[in-house]
Amino acid sequence: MAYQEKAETGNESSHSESTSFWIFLAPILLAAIAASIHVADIPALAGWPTAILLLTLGALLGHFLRQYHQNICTQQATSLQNHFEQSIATHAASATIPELDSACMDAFPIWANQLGNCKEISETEINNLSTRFAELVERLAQAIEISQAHAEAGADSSSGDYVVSSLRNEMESELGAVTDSLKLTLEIKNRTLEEIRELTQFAEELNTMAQGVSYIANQTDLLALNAAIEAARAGERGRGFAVVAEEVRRLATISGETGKRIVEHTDTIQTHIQKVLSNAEQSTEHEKELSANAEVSISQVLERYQETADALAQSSSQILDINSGIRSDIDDAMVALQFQDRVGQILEHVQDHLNDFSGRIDSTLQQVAADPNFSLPSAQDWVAEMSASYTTMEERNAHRGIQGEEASDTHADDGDIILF
Amino acid sequence: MAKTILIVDDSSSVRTVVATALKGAGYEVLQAVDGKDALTKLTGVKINLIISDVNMPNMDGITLVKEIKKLPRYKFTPICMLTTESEQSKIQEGRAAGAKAWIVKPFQPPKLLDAVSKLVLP
Repeated sequence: MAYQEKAETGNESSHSESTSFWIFLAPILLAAIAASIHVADIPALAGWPTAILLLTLGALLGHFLRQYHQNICTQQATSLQNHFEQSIATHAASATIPELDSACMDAFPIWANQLGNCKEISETEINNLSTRFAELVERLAQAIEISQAHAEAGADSSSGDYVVSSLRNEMESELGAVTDSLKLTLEIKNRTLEEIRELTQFAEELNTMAQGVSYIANQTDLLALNAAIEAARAGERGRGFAVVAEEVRRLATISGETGKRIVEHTDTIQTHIQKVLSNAEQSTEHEKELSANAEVSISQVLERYQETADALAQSSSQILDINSGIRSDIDDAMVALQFQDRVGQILEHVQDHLNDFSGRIDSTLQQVAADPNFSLPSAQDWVAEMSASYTTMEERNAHRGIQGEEASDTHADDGDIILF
Repeated sequence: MAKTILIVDDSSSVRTVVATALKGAGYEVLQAVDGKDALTKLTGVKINLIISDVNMPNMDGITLVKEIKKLPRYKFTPICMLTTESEQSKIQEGRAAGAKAWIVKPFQPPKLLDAVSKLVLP
């Protein structure tokens, strides 16, 4: 096309050159004709006007030809300007495309390398992160297991409640046995005290009896004295009786002294029994108080245990809730950590496409250089080939220009499980 | 005795995440970085389930399924595909090769464990 325009422009140019030639040649030829007429002995009056006429005609013809030449020149100038502009545009384009090709050839591998670096860095870091995360999850699982065991034991669940109430009943039973034992001890002690009190009565009776013995001894002594007096009056016949009376008095005296000692001993026994009784009563009172206090303390302990158990059950329930929340967070984090796989694939494909595109440009340029009539491959085919390598829904959506919430709508199948 | 699951994925982070989820549920875990590597792990050890990615270097997941079906000891071992691919054509390809399930990444660990409990050999 350009060659054709150039050829046409060349024809116009040669036409213009021949016209300019005739513009200058026509007046000269006419003047030469006029001069030749004058020189050929034509009468002067007839020769000069003819020559002037011819010169005028030559001048008019020159003017006409000049105007014509100017028009032709204007057209040619316009044509040349258009051609020049087209030539500049064509030249600029033909100069720019190789530069762009060169830039692309240089830039695409660089971009591909940069993407490769991004992919490698993100892979390394996400691998470290996921490894640390796995360790964290393992330790967290151990902590959760321990807290779960405690929590389940004290939780307000049916089994947990059974454990707490069972333990409480056990404690109540054992502590109740302690208080029962204390009560029994007190009862035995009371019975002992009663027996001691009865002993006091026996001692009093013994004392009375001993006093009776003393009284009888005194009376016997008096009787023996009277008998001795009467024996003395009887003289010799009463001597034997006097001996008997004296012996009776001696026995009465011994009996009286024995009675006194018995009274003294019974008094001592009574005194000791009273002291023992008094001490025992004091001790019993103290033990009664202790037993009552023990009952109150046991009741308070059981109450506090119940409160603690209730609080434990509540905190256990909270621990279970927290554990459940942690598990849910871990699951969410596991989903989030999978992003690298998708991003890695997308980056890898972009990297491959850039390298591929660079290679295609290089190959195409070589083929065009070898064959000017080489038909360029279809860009649509390239793009279609590019889309065939996608492995994620994100890539397909991005390729179709679907992004944001619209793209999220198309991810309904993420995490879906198809069992064949 | 704990059941053993072989995870095949070229992404280290995905292997770690899947292994963490499975170990937490009491499974023993073996790992392979691609199909070829997976075949080297199938050396007589009892495997109760194989979870494999589809797009991997050296040997892709679909080829791996076909290769496993040729091994007398492992041809009945259930294989679950775990992949970003959700194209019906690929899913059907996996099914035709002999896979028992198809899970699209990113997966929810409870859903994965639910599927594993249904697929794993006793």
